Amino acid sequence: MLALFSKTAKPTPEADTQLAQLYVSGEKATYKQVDRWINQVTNLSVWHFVEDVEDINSIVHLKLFSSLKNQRFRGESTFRTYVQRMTRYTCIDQVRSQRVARQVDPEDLPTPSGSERPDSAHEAKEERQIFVKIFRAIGPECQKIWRMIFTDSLNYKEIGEKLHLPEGTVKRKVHECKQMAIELKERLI
Amino acid sequence: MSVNKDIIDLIPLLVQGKLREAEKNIVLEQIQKSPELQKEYDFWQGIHAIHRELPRYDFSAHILPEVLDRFAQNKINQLSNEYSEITAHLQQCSSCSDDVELLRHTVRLIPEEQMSATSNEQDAWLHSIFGLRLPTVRALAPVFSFLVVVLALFVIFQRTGEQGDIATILLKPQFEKRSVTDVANVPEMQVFLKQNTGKVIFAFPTDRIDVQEYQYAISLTPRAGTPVELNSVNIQCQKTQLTNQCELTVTDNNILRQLKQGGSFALLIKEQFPVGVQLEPAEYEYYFRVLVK
Repeated sequence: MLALFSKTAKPTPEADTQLAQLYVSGEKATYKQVDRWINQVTNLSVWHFVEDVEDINSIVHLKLFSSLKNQRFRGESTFRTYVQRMTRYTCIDQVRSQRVARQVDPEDLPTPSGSERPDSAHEAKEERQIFVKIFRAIGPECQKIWRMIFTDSLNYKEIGEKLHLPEGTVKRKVHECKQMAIELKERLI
Repeated sequence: MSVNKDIIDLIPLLVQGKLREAEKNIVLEQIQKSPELQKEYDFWQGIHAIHRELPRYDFSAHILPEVLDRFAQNKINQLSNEYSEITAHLQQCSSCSDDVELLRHTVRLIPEEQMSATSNEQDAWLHSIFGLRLPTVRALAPVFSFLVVVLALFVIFQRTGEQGDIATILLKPQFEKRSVTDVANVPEMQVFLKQNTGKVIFAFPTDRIDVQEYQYAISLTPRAGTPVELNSVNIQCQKTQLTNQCELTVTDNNILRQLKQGGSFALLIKEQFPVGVQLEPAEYEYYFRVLVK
């Protein structure tokens, strides 16, 4: 009984920082612990998710990885609080995308071309899903730039003018976003 | 070997089909020669493949979830400009108000983490309570352990008898009878319940929140199998922090048992006014499908 009391499970900033580092390094036990914290939020019945909860969890993991890589966890809260806060944000984004999905015309969604072989169509679909996850997990700044490139068809100079940034800075940001996306993709695969 | 930076800049244009034939051929030729450029090309193709889905994840017209979360947890100074801006946005954006309510519910529902204190804190605690030296504590340990086990079992039995999981179901207007145009294809909300759910809270929008002694009768009708109607009357509307929303808490075992069988349901909520109130009682009918975990 006394042995039980001697366990030091109360989180300290140092222990939490170490936990965050272990998570980024891919340590299995820490990953499982973080996954359990994420599940405590995503499994709540309030969300009414249409999508598989596992998919939402994987987006949270990607966001968390990206955030921790960028040193955004500064120990101001416990690591568990940080993880669950990020999970709540992701859940809200998911709920918002579900609302939008109800308004989207199915004609607007991508469909596989008839000439595509079933196996390559399946591969393309999987690849698309990976990129959707990456897009959802990456920061809002990267999302904004990619949207400007592909949806608004702007070049780097025009993006710079819109964001009040020099063209060189836009290029650097595009490069950084791409590097992070590639890292997320590797993590996902 | 260093990669031609100009080619890198042209790849996003290539995947969008914006290059002239001659430029396109040059870029494609360079890509074939360089694995690094090939990686670059694969990446931009991947993002381009989803470009039609990107607007679905554009929430720039709404307040960031981070900000809404701080607002929901009352962590924003009520005298600040930020607070005024948020409240002004919430008055015009009903979905953002829903988000605030969701965030509040979530924080309330997340289970507490079980933690034991540090050993130093424990030693201080033992000393301050018992004023005993460690050998004495060790001698009393078996007795102490027994008492703790008995107390823990008592608490566990009490809790399992009284409560279970709490499920909050936010009833949305788009799943309400009046918004249904195609009766053959009634839209249904997805609701997840656990077998140990001991309380279901139905949260729904209403503009009658200020009427005194205002109550509801609800009836739940399974839409498949035997149409059993379960009634519950005089359910008090609990105001939430969100304006025009109230919560009906259902602990009736008949209703819970029926819900936990899963399937499609229609929930009828009927207003009940005390004698003397001259208002026409409204009826809401929501449709949802329960999935039991």
